[in-house]
Formats: sequence, C-alpha cells, structure tokens
Amino acid sequence: MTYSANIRAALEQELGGIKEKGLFKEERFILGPQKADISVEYPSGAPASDVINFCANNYLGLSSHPDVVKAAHEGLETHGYGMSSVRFICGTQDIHRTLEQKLTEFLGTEDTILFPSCMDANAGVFEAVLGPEDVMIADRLVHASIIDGMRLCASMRDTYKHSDMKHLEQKLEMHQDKRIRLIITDGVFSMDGDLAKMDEIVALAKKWDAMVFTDESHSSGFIGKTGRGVHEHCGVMGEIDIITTTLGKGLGGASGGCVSGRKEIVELCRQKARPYLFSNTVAPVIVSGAIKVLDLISGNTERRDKLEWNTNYWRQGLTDAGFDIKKGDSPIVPVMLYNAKLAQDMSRDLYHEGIYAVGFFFPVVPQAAARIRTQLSADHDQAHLDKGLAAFKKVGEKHGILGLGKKEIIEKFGK
Amino acid sequence: MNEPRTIKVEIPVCLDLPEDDLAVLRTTFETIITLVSGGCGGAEQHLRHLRDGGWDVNWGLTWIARARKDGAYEEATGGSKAEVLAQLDRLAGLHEVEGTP
Repeated sequence: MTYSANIRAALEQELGGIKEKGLFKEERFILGPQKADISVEYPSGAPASDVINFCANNYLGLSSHPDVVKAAHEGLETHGYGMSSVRFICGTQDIHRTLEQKLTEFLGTEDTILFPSCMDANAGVFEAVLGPEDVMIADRLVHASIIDGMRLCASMRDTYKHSDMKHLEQKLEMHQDKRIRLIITDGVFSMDGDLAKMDEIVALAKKWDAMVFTDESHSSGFIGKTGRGVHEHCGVMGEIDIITTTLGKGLGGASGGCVSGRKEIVELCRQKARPYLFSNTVAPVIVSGAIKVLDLISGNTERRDKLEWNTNYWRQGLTDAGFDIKKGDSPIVPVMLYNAKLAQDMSRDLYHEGIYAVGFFFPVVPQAAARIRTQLSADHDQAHLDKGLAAFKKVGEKHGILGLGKKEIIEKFGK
Repeated sequence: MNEPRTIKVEIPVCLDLPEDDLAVLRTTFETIITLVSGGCGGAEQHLRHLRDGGWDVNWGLTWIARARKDGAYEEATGGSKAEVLAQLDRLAGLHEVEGTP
C-alpha cells in the first residue's frame, strides 16, 4: 500500500475539519525549564515573549526544583540512562522498588506498581482486574484515559451523572447481580477543578458492596492536610481500593504514573496489565527525581501550604474583580466566559499582557460552558498573582464582562 | 461469477411502518438468507481452522446497534433490541464531553 494522493487528500480534509471547528492545536515553544516565568515562542518563528505561566500542572513548583534536578543527575550517574527492558525481564532496579514503597506510604495504600504514565495505568488496570461478570460505574466527567481504559475492559460499562450520589446509588442497586461493582471517579475533575464527594462515594460503596477507584492526578501532593489527595481531604484514607496518579503533575512533572491500592489488585496489574507488561520501565532518571520529590513533600507541607495560600488569593482576587469563577478548593480555577469566541479572544489578549492561560470550549467542555482555565503553582509568588490579576482585570474590562454572571454574559455574547 | 439475485418486496401503502420496523423486516430477510446459505464464505473451513488451533468456538444470531455523534462512535451487540439499546444508552454517557487534560 502506498501513501496515495487519495489517502493524503482524505487526511488533509479531516485536518481541515478540525481547523474549521476551531479545535486545531498548535504547540507553543517554551525556551527553558518549566516554571512560573517562562519565555515562549508563539507562533513558531515569532520573537519570544516573557509570560507568567498560569496553565501548567506544576502545582508544587517542583518541575525545575534544584534538589529534584540534582537527584535526577545523580540517578543518571548511578543507575544509567535507560534499562532497555520491560520491568519483568531485566528492567527493575532497586530504585523502582524504593519509589513504589514511597508512593504506597504516601498514598496510604497496601502496594504500588509504576507505569510509564497515568494514561497507561488507567489503560491497564481495569482489564487486569475485572472480567465480563463485573461492572464499572464511572462519573460522566472522568478523564479521557479512564474512558479509554474502560473500553479495553470486557466488563459492563455504565456511568452516573457528574457527582450525583443519588444516581450513583440507583446504578449500584441496579447492578447488584454483578460479581464486582467498581465505582470510578477522578479525585479532582480537571475541567471544573471540583472535588469528588469521596466520603459519600465510600459510604455508598460500603452500603452496596462495591469497590472504589479514584484518579488522583490533579490532587496528589497538595489536596488534603498533608497533600495525600482527595481521600485524605475527605477523611477516607485507607478506604480506597484503587488509586491511580501521575508523576507528571504535582509530583515533579516529568512523566510516569502508578496504580496503588489493595495488594492483590497491584499484583494482578503486575501479572496482567498490558501497558506494564509491554512498555519499557520508567527511566532511572525519572525514578530518582520522583523519589526526591516524595522526600521533599513528605517531610513538610510548606509547598502545599503555599499553593493553598496562592489558590485562595487568586480565587479571591478574581472574585473581587468581578469574574465568574467556578467555586472550589483546588488550584484549578476556571474563569467562566460561556462563549467560545470570547474565551479565545480573552486568552489571546491575556497572552499579550504577559499571562499564559488557555481557553477551553465545546467539545472539550459542555456547550455554553467555555472558560479560561487557570492553574496555580507554589512557584508563583504574590507578584506573579498580582500581575495576573491586573491583566485579567484589564482584559475583562476591555470585553465588558466584569460583574456579569452567566445569564448576562450569554445575553451579551451568545452561547 | 454469477450476479447476486435479489428479491424485491413491496410494502402495501396502507401499512405505515415506522423506520424501526422496516429495519426489523430487512434484518429478518437478511437473516433468513444467511441461515439458508451459511454465508457461502467457507464457514466450515474457518471453523475447522479455529478448532484445530484450540479455540472453543460458539456463535449465534445477535442484535447489533451502532450510534454516531460527531466523531464519537459506539457499538453494542446483544440478544435483544432492548438489550443493545440499553447498552448504547449506557455507553453514550462516556461521551458527555471530551474533557481536559
């Protein structure tokens, strides 16, 4: 088969369709390490702009922390660059075991297995643990990787309305004939930054004999009093059966993920999870850096506390300025604009004011729910936040949306 | 090779069948032909090959339902129309939005 003109035309047409819908993604080139102050080349070939980053998942500001970088260098020296193997053949080093033990302790579970990413963890865990006689019941706003993982599993797939505990209970009751009922949720939902009602979910799981799965990617390291995640925040540490999380956000921001939970479940992943069995081991340099990250955040809560302060300051500042923001406790703070064009225009204007924050609109978020998603970091200091708030205020004034609620914005700009 | 033969059945004008019922009729006729012919595609040979390879093979007639919306696609198979549509309804819940990374 050659790459014929017909094939090329068909694929070009598809790309054209993506552009027409305004969904074409263009990469922006960051000239240096990930941190609050970055220099960005955008569009490609344009002179670099110095901007403050309000869209990274660098929650704890550890992506370029000198101690983490140093630990990664040391890991490179002592354990090499790559392992040229999957874990179970000859790709497991002492540091992999150390990191898995540290994650187990940090998350408050029985055991942990590393994956190349949390996307891979979510892709592998359901198929490894569940069978055709089981059912997965997922919140309708769980991350795309969970949905993909559910597709790879032979169990029945079902959903409940977002954070609707009555609906979840109906589904649990409906599926009492199944061998295993697995409730699936994100800890923090990446779209709105809201937290799962984990205590209520655990209570329902006990009532209806179900297991609980949560993806803590947007909470590990900073949600909860000591940053263990939403299960700590909700007082149900040790009661979650399966936790997946990433090393690619708060926990250093490089790559890698894990499944952590009941030891039999982790062992089944070690035996059966295909992304684990057929992917290379997580590189030693990443593992070494991640061990340092866990040492840094297990010892004290300074960075988590700073992030919490920054989040409160930012939320209050935006509210005082007259923006309509999604309420919540997480460092994901969506500024609601409802109209897709307005979200794009404001994101562009903010960029020209030195603020890097991205607009999201349908189909990534629901219709008439366009927003600019801002994300806070412990790397931000007050000056960053004040500059960001001033820029938001200026751009908000320009578009005449300060003090307006959903109804007024939609009346003015349309859905 | 012979051209396939077709049978055209006129539906009386007085019979105001909804699209769903027409689909059932069409599927029923196709099923009868498939059952009579066995598919004419060397089914026995494939079956033998699978069993020689150690596969425990069984089969049956099934319903299939497909749903598309924009780029999303879901498919369900099962023993009844109600079952496959219930499955599709459940699966559609996974497509509320694409979500954010």
